[in-house]
Amino acid sequence: MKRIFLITSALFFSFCAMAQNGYNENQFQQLGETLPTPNNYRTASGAPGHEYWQQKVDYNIKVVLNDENQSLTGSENITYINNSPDALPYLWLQLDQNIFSPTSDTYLTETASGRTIGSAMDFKALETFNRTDFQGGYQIKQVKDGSGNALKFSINKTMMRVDLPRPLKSKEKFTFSVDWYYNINNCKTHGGRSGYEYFEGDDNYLYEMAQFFPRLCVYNDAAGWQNKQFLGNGEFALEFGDYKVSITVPADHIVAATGTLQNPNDVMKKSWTDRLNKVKNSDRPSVIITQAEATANEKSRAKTTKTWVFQADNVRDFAWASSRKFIWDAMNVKVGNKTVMAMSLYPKEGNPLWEKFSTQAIAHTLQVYSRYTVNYPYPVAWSINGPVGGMEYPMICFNGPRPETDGTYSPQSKYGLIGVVIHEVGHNFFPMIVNSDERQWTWMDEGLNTFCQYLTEQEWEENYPSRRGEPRDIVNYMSSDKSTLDPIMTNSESILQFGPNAYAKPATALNILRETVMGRELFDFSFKQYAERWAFKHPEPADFFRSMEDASAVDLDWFWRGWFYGIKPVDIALNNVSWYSIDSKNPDTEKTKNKAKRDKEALSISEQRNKTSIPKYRIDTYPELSDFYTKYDALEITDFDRKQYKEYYDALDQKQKDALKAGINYYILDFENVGGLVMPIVLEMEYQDGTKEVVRIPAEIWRKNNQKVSKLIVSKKPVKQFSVDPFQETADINMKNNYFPAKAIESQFQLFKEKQQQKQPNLMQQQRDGKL
Amino acid sequence: MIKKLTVLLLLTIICSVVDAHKFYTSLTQIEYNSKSKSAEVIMNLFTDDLEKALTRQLNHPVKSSDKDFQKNCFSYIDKKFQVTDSKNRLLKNNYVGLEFKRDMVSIYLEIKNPGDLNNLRLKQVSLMEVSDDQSNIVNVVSGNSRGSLIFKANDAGVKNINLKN
Repeated sequence: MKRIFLITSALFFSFCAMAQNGYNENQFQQLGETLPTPNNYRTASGAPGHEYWQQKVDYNIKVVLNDENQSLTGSENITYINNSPDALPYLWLQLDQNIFSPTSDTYLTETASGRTIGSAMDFKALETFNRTDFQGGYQIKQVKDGSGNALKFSINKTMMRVDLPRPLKSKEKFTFSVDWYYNINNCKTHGGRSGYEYFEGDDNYLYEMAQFFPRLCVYNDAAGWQNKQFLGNGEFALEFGDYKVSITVPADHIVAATGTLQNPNDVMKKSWTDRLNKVKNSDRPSVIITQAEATANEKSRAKTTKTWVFQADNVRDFAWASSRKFIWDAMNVKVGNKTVMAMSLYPKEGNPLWEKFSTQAIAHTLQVYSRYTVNYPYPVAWSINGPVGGMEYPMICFNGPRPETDGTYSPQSKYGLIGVVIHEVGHNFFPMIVNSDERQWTWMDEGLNTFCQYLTEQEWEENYPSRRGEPRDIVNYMSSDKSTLDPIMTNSESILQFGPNAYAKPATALNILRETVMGRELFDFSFKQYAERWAFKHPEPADFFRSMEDASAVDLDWFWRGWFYGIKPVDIALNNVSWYSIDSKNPDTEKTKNKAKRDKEALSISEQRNKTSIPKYRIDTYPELSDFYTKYDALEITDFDRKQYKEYYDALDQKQKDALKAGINYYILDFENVGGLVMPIVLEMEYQDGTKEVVRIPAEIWRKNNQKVSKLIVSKKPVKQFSVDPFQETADINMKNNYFPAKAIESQFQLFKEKQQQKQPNLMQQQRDGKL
Repeated sequence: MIKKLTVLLLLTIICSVVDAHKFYTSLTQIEYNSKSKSAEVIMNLFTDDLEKALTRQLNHPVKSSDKDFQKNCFSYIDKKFQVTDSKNRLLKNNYVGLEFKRDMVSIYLEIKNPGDLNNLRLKQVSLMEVSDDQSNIVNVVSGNSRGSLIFKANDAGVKNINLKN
């Protein structure tokens, strides 16, 4: 028992010796001083406060699409409702199209970094350049108040300030109008989050239209006016409002948009409305415009126009798509006690991929996301195929993947399409409903959405190949040198590695929070709580961090500090294991054991040689030199030993006697936090009899010492192998130091080399060609 | 000079308008295997960007499902990913194969007997011509030493590997 006492004091010693000094160095320091001070607008529990307010902006927009020269003419009536306690002398509007203006210096900030011309040049790029003479950007024709008087306005790159005749007081409304015009960008050559695609084969255009009208900036308690310039990465911050939008297009175009169509009988064929009415009775996608009808329609060239009128309430943006090429399918989806129409529009170039997967992927997304967040509140959800790779708007999103021209598709295209539809439809929840500020924090919508995307993909089919979410997939990024990394809490326009930082790392962090730190039940409740609290409002990072703690009673400050404010990786090493067993004090076992141990000890070289080199010892010659000590062997068992042991044993209680009998093993495990990011320790013990047990030690084990801790493990059965993070759930970047005894780990490279796995061929083509 | 500047400017405009939700990052892991005495390289690139790069280079449409995709990849990487030793000799990329994972392609290659990785120089300019926003991260591991290099369009020269414990 003495040894056990020694063990505990050693343990105690090791905890105390490494105490930290210096302010705020401990990872468990509360975030209190880092987060903004709670106030009447945002509470310390992460919920909207009792004086929370936000502005409302209603739009009445009329646009005319010119299919001849790919341009848009528009006018809008804006009603701005000032719910803030402040008087506003001016309003700020976003002119996102100005990113395409040749005179805009938005690009100049990017070229200023001194790109050498040689590395960029090739013929294809030059061809594009030669073709390009694009005059993009808004032409603001006029800005007028409700009575038709011109308002003074000033344009600063992608932002426009409209000066009010007198400051708009709290609770007052202001109505004004803007007229504009712009050339639509060719999305395939200019890029962008909207634009047109030209189809050479049938000489048609397909339009995916967004950021097509001057939109109000957000004014709120956290950012004041969010009028940070649009540089291309940081998306949008927008107010909620009601939209009525009239879209005039060639009469043979089909239009999809945010909101509900108000005049179906003016713009739709009777056969389409009939088919659409039948969709309500089906639980599978059915076709509204067939591929044959769409292909026939491609050949028409209407000289007249039609105006499609849409109404959308309580949305933060509006987008639409228009073309004569569209095939249309639709499906009724039950969400809560409401039904939603999930619909897809795509040109024939999207088939057979789109007719099979798009609408089903919308329906799947609405159902799974609604379970984890809030019920999808809108009447429709569109997925449109066109030039945009993937971009989200309320009730409508644009998705790029298409099959090969021969009608086959690779697994990458298939999962690429399902994944992007889930992702972009998923954005309805973050940021269209839970309306975070994308210009400031990309992770608040992309990270949360990518996390939900992972959950949704995993419910599509077993072993769905999700790109992001699994901790092991973030290891390469997390192990990069610090100079190449940013914290997740980095402004959208300054992020070094956009995909890993704003999408993959937060998504993985949330997955780890759910599986390893909080557990599914606590996490799911808290995550849903956050979504419910901030649905149709403007949350800030602190509101998320605080809500997750508030609803779960789990202190997560260390987690936000490490994963969101820091760049250190997880690397927990199991440096050493010391093994102790109980001293039974039974002379028959202990002395025998020690004697055997002594006999096994190697003789020194002198001892060995002396055995033969010394013919006779002195005490052999003079036997009188021998005495008691000459013969005494401390490991010889004596009657006294046995008597003493009996007394000791009899004094033990039954519990102690049992423990003695069981031969309990004590292991002291020395862990080191090599990476710097504190995490729970997931420890697997494989016993000598082959059985396994997993112990989950909360991250708080590091709370007094973030670098080194020792843990006592008591086990009846001897342990053969200790493994840290056996299921790769913490994103530990170095598995080599996770085993005791050390185990050889085959690298990804060696595994691949053994497999010599060739690329995944396009199996559909092989089957067609008789190779399968 | 003025002409060159205009070309540069317009080219940048064309290239720098990023596809929505598109980002240009590649990650390369180099790890020294002391048993085989070789540097094992795994390079992860976006498949669609690699297709774009090969399409431009070969001047005909290239898809990852093409029969000669692997061969074309390897000769492309030969030009873009180069390791040189302390005497400025180019070391050979020995290709092991490639593997598709969702929208990424992983290229496996070995550099035999590179000696101490710390004395090597490295260039990783893959896909730089596809986008001005391309950044290529290279993580190097040898035993307990690590180092990272970052290559960007405006800073894409040859770099020294510098490992720290």
